[in-house]
Amino acid sequence: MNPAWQIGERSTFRWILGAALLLVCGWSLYRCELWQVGSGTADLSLLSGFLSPVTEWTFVADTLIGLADTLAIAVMGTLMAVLFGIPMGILSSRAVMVAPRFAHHWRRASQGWIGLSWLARGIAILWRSVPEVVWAVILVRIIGLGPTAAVIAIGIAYAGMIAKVFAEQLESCDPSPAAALEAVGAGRLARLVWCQVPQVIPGMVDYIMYRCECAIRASAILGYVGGGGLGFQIEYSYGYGYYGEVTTQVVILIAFIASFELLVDYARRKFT
Amino acid sequence: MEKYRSGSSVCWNARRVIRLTNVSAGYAEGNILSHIELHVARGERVCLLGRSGAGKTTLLRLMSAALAPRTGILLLDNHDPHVLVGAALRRMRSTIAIIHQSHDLVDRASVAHNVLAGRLGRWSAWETLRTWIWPAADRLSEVHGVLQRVGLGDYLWHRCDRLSGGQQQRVAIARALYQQAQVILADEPVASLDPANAAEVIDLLIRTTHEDGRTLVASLHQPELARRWFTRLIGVRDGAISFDLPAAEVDDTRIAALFAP
Amino acid sequence: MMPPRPMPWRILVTILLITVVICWSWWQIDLAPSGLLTLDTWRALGDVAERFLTPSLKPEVLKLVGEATLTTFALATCGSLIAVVIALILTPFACESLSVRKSPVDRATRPAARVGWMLLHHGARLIANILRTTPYLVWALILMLVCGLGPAPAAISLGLHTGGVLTRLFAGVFDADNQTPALALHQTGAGRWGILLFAVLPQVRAQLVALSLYRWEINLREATVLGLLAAGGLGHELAMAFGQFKYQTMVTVLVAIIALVCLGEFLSGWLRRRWC
Repeated sequence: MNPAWQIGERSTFRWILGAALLLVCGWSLYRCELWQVGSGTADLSLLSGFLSPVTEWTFVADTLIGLADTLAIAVMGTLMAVLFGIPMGILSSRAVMVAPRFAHHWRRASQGWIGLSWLARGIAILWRSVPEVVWAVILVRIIGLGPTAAVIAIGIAYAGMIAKVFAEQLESCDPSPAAALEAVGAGRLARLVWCQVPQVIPGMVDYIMYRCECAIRASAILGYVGGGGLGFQIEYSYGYGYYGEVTTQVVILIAFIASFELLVDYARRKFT
Repeated sequence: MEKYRSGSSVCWNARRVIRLTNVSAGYAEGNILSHIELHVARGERVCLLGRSGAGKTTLLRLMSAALAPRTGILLLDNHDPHVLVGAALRRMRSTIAIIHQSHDLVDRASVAHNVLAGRLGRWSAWETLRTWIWPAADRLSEVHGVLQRVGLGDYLWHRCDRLSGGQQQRVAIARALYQQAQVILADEPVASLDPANAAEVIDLLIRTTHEDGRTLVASLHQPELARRWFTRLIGVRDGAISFDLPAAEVDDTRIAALFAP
Repeated sequence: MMPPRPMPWRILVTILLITVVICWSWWQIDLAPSGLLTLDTWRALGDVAERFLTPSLKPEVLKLVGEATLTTFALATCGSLIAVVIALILTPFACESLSVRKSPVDRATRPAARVGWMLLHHGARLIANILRTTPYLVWALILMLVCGLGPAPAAISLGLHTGGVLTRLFAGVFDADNQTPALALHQTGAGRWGILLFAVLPQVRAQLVALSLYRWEINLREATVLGLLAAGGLGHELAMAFGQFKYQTMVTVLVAIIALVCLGEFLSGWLRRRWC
């Protein structure tokens, strides 16, 4: 009605929201007891252990084997995530399941498909809202220690995320080529394969590579809860107080992640 | 109806391929078109003229069965398309080709794939997948023939987003030709092209449809192009047909009245 | 003559490479999916599933889980705040448009100052890269040694890692934004800080808020993981419950995790729509 009043209300709303956010932030800082850092238990002498990394060749070789395990877990986990996530993404994408522009017959014919779509969306939310480490803790209990649990944990958690992103990309790409194919008489599968998938391939390749990078980082942590690989070695060295070994392992891990990132960046610039 | 339920290629045999009887249509609220009477005979080359917003696109959407009439009767080849569902509907659609001003090609796919897509309505799921990965040689040579007709024979394996606007419009025409549709509907096919290119593309569209004996309904902004190439002109103004005459009988005063604000 | 189809060599080679990597991975960790099909696995699964169907609703458990949820929430928020502060400090140096090369301001700087800026730029980038590539687990391990268990080291380690990530994202926004206002301001004789405050920041503010909220949403998940390792909160409760075979408590914790993550996704989406 009255624009001035509306603007006033809007800014009041913003003030209230801002104050609430400020309160939440202040409370969080208080709750995390940040002021306790540096007082009391600090023991800096322990840190000096980190300053003399172990450089014996046999140890480095062991670390590299652990790194290879970690990488392999990440690759297999990502593969599993892709195998499960892509179909779920397709099923949960409105752009594929409900063709909006050209069809008015569809809603009548596809109640079953829409139900399936909601099911896929629900599973994806459930899978991605539990962190991969939590999945690993549960799976280690079920199938025992070892890389299989880590692979499945990464696969489940990342499949949910890949499904979400794939569905979003399918929905946000230009709908007119797909509508043109529908006008030609193409069915759902034909539109997907001939038009929608080629449109989103570059974005998806980027995202999957990013997820693979995350999986390397995550599998280092998964090792910590019994998933094997470099994380397990780090936990072992840390637990026994061999901080020099931890330094070596961490440096190798960081160097590997950084070079993987550089490689992906290079490939992206080269291929697109 | 039976013929859309089985078989792979459909030939229309009505003399009047498109018939609209007292049709009104629109989108969310209000009618954009009201009480339209329009018949198009097989092999005709019809041009819809009018200012933007007059209802040309809505009329074409009606003819392509993308939009159902609110009232009145729409018959394509003596059938009501809106009673069809599923595979029969898709087979029906495969007999109508649509060319837009924004040519609606898949940018990252090759020219060959974009043309091949014209027959997606007639292939089984297996053929669809197989052709996407590795098209059969006879299909490719047919596509190549169609592309030669539109002057793009050498561009078979080029990616579509590397072509110019005029070339992309030709690819869209090639898709319509390969589709072997009974009716080609073109919604301002040359709106985004410069005059020389526009004349060439219209010439191509007219020539190829005439050679194959197909029906063409196009909408245009440019009356001079329309008068030069089409046999029958229909003026659309404010959701109604203001004239429907052979091209020779449309003079400058009618055009001026049609486009007057 | 029909042009022959060019062989898609690049795609074929890529597929081959990926296949090789996958086969190697399989061999390296000796995956045995057949192990999943043994009777023991299914028995364990059935066992867990049976207990999973009934979350514990005892008041003391609910109180514990509620406390833990608040801790995790505070942890994520605190970590994100630290990260935003780090990113806001590093970004003006780490981005290219304000410091080196592309920027018009650079050409107007004296040579000596120019070298200084170069050093600052590369230093800031190096710091950001180290912060980002080091997993927060490693930060947590180091900080736990220094200041013991508790939410504070967890929040800081989360903040350090996220700070590196946000610096990279922020720098991307700074460099991608429209340079015209910056140029116009430069014409009037404004220096780097003038340009930053009056041309760049007003343009990118909304995007910075959106990115921070997005990271906050991710941090809610990560905070659970950190808790699992040491710091308290939901992850800690989960590990405790698991260690003591209290499956029902564990289910309550899991439900709380899912609820918290979903709430975070919803809240950050809502705020982004409202604010940006």
